[in-house]
Amino acid sequence: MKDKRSTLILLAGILLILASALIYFQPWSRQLDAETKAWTLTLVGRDGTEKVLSYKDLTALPTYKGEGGFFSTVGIVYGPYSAQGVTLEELCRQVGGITPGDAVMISARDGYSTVLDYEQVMGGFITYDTNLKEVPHDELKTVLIYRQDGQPLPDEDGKPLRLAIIGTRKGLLTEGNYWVKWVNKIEVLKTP
Amino acid sequence: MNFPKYLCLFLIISLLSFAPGCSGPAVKQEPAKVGLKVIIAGSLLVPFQALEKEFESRNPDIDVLLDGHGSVQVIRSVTELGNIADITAVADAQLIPLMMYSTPMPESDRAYADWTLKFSTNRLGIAYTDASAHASEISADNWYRVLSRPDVSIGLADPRIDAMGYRTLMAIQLAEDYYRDDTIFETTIGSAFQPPIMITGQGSHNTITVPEVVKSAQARVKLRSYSIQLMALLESGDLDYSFEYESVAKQRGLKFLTLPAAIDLSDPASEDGYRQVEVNLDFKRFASVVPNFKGTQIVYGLTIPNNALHPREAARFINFMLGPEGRRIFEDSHQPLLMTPQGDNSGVMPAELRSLFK
Repeated sequence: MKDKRSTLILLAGILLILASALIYFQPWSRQLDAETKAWTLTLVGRDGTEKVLSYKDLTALPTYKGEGGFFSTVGIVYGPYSAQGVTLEELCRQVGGITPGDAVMISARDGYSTVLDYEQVMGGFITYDTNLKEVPHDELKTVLIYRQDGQPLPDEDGKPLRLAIIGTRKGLLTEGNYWVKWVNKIEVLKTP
Repeated sequence: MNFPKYLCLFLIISLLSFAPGCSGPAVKQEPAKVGLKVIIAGSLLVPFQALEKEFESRNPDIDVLLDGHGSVQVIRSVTELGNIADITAVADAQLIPLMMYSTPMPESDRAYADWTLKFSTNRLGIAYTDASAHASEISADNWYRVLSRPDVSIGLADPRIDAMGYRTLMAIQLAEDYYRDDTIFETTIGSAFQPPIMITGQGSHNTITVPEVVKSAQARVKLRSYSIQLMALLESGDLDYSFEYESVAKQRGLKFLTLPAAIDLSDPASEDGYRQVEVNLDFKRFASVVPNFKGTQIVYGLTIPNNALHPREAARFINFMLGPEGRRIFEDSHQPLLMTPQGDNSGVMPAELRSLFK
């Protein structure tokens, strides 16, 4: 009788611990929310070709993983992060590619935009250490990221898609104005 | 064996370790402070950090929360990105009426702001170090000739990103009129850009047009997004000269060449001259901002947004800033306050601030 009671208490305890662990780790939060599911990314090619990708379409494209961070106008450093996404070169390829001399406009939900030249699309940026001193880099890519430090992007970091400059060397920073949050359109602007 | 007793103890410890807020030792609760959110332009960071420290020591009920951005972004963070600020302070006072007076708050008839307090100015000049090429001979009379030499490197903030960038273009163009030499823009920086930065004149008025993509084709002209990067290059000896605000150059211990008032965008008496130049950007960075900037005196402005959570505490902070202590802090930061602050729509300012204009 006493053994049976102990077993029941033990089972109840295990269930309680499991329930607590579920509440603590919230595995359901890793599922896509409605906003992310409904997000679309419009790609426009140099000949006007348009293609609209869902978040799911985007994450099915070849992935690039790398390290990188950025600094703001006033020198505040963010990151560096481990990030994962799709290279801008690959996204341009989806609508016919990009040639030297072209530029690419990146636009965001909040009305912000930036323009990158061909070299920047290919990862041609100056890199900095955390003291903002210019330092060399190894491989560097311009990437539309959807994961940061192993998690989907939080809203304040541009959920669900953010432009980032990441590469193989750890600890490097680039200028923050290129890290566009909430990206919803990428347009290849052909050479006049 | 008292197995259930130990099991219960284990369970209680396990549950407590998962319960948020219960894992640390009990601490005595201090009275909650008012978090005063102050969003400022980057060039104000040094005096505002000092103000924060002094103000908090005299107002222990308030915790000043500083956040710095470029001036346009300071305002956008409130009007477009949903941040709540108690004070917004920018390096171009015109931006407040332009971007806040006519932008209604969500579910309200009121605009984000309806008054501006102009409180400080600054001066554009040339920052350099003792190690800069030809540092011993540069002066207000010959700087444009020194900066044109092939062995001299010049830093330029990106005019599409940083107000310092388009103000630098204005100053160099104004120099052509002042020194009566219409080659200054081309020989100092103009020839470096591909595609070129175009200047079109109509009478004495000049419009500088910056293309969508700006790249320097000359190694000696270094273009960076923000002026803060150029200061780092100067300090490391990788750059000879860069245009900069007087306050920022002196705060960083750099040498500063003062330019004539007709060029340096600091002088209210030269306002008519400044207005003879404007900069148009082909690149529209913000959907809500028309990228056309007219030459004008550098005047810093602030406001308390109409959706501020702590407007009274914000007024206390502003009064402190404009009082003797604040004035001393700004002078120590090489950025003097205006002798008398100026108000735009001062009649609708909070009562606590109206006395500043009597």
